[in-house]
Amino acid sequence: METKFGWSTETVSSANTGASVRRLGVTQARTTPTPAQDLVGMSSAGVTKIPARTERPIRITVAETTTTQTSDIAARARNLQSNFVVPSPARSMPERVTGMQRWEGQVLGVEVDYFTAELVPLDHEGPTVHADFDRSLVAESDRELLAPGAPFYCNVRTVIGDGGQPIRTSTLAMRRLGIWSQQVLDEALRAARERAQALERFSD
Amino acid sequence: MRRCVPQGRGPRRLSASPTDAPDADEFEVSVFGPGKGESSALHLGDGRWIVVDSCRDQRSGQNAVLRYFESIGVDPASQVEMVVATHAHDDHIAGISEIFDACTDADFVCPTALSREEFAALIELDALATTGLKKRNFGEFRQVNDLILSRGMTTGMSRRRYALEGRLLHPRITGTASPAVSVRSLSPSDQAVSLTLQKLHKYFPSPGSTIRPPFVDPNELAVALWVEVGDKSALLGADLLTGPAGCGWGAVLSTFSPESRASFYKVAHHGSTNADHPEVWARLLTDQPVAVIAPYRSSGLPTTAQQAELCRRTPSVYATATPSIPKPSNSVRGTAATLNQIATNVHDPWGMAGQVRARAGKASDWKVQLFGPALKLC
Repeated sequence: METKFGWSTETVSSANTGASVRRLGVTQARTTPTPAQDLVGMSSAGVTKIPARTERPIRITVAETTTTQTSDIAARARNLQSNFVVPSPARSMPERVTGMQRWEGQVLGVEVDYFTAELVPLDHEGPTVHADFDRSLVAESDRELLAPGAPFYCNVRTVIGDGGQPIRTSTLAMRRLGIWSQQVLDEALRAARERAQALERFSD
Repeated sequence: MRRCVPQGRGPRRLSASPTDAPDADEFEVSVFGPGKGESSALHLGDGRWIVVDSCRDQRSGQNAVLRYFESIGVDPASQVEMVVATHAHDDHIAGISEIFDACTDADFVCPTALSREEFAALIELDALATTGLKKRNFGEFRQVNDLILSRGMTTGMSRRRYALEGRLLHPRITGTASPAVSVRSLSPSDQAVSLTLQKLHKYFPSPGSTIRPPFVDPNELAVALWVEVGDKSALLGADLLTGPAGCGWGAVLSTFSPESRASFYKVAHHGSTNADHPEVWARLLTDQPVAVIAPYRSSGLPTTAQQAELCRRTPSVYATATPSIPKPSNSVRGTAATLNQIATNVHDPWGMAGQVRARAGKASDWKVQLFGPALKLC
């Protein structure tokens, strides 16, 4: 399989902006990746991402590659490093949250590798849905809670990171409701008895 | 059979339902689903109705039965005589308190086990465990019980009735111009009630155990109904399973032998194999009854094989909607995109509720009409 790199013809030099020169960064999460890492990362993802912090972006297109070609890619990237540079912004932008959506979940069924739950939107308009979740998303210490009926929260947060790239993070947290005390259970039984007796008056 | 809503014209909404109420001597069975739950509305003649279970259309947020009543000019406060909760599963009772609230003159019928202290305790535990949560498993029953108490205090009348094996819930009236009517519960059996109470008792937590909202309700206590209006009978199977011994259809068949067979069958447990007792077809149903299924999409019921089996038994099988998961709406797709890092198979298992309506006049066959996504399987 042949690996192809398509580069834009435009090169941005530090002289145009007066900003300091930094290496090309292409992923959301890394702030100062090496070119080789970036190229490998891109090829395995199979997508092109344009870093927001390049004032005049250079497009990179990776068609297809395989793991065995990684060393070739790294070598070529090292060669290219000296030729393609982009300026960093004059100042970095602070990370800010631009979106947060929360759901209340209830476990409907638990399988070996996953569990199914019903999700009700908590803080936004949206449909109630069913979805499957990987059991490994639940903290080890909370896995004992995974049973039909168990409640949890699901949060999806979007932040604009350094460089303006939106980053989304998702979390799943089982809700710990504590343990039943003898007193609470006794009180529940007493209330249930009273209610059943009251209803009996209007039943036949 | 005539289809009232053309196929292939984009979304087919229940609002396209007709506005024609049944004639005074017509027996009607309308089945709604699968919204959040499934439901049936039965016209017993003379503008008198009963409602079985509840179906809330998840797309419109409306209660399918109440919306239908509104469209055909039925006043639920004065014309509904009975609201039946066949069992406590979410897919049968979501929204039933809303129906009972609207049906101010109706009796509420539920399995006898749900009247017991053991079940009342689960409702209490549910309220405690779900404090601050949106979702409550037994919130519907709590609200219904509140309504029964407040109406009882106001009128002094009994509003709750228990369904048991072979109990006549609505007496047959003869000698009038209107068709004779009887509504009988065929289940749960004594054995099923006993088994259910054991399960509820076992479920009650012990001190020191983790607090978790209760999530229990055995299908064996489901209420199957036998409804006779004039010369027609209908069997509504609820979620009644074939067994275990002394329970389910096995128990019904050992104690119930009708004078005439039912020509309408609301298929039990969404067409599932574990609710399909061959003797029900042989001994309780006519040769080729009208059979109606409300699918349960979360479990993929009925499967293709189960549909084929039903079609082998009768050539008139209808479903309130396709059993497959509906094409996601834009809002569901948006939710799936937002959750794609953490969740898979994000879907709305309910979709739009459809309606299968069967009406039969005196000495005439059933006329079946389909609304919304309802369809004829064979």
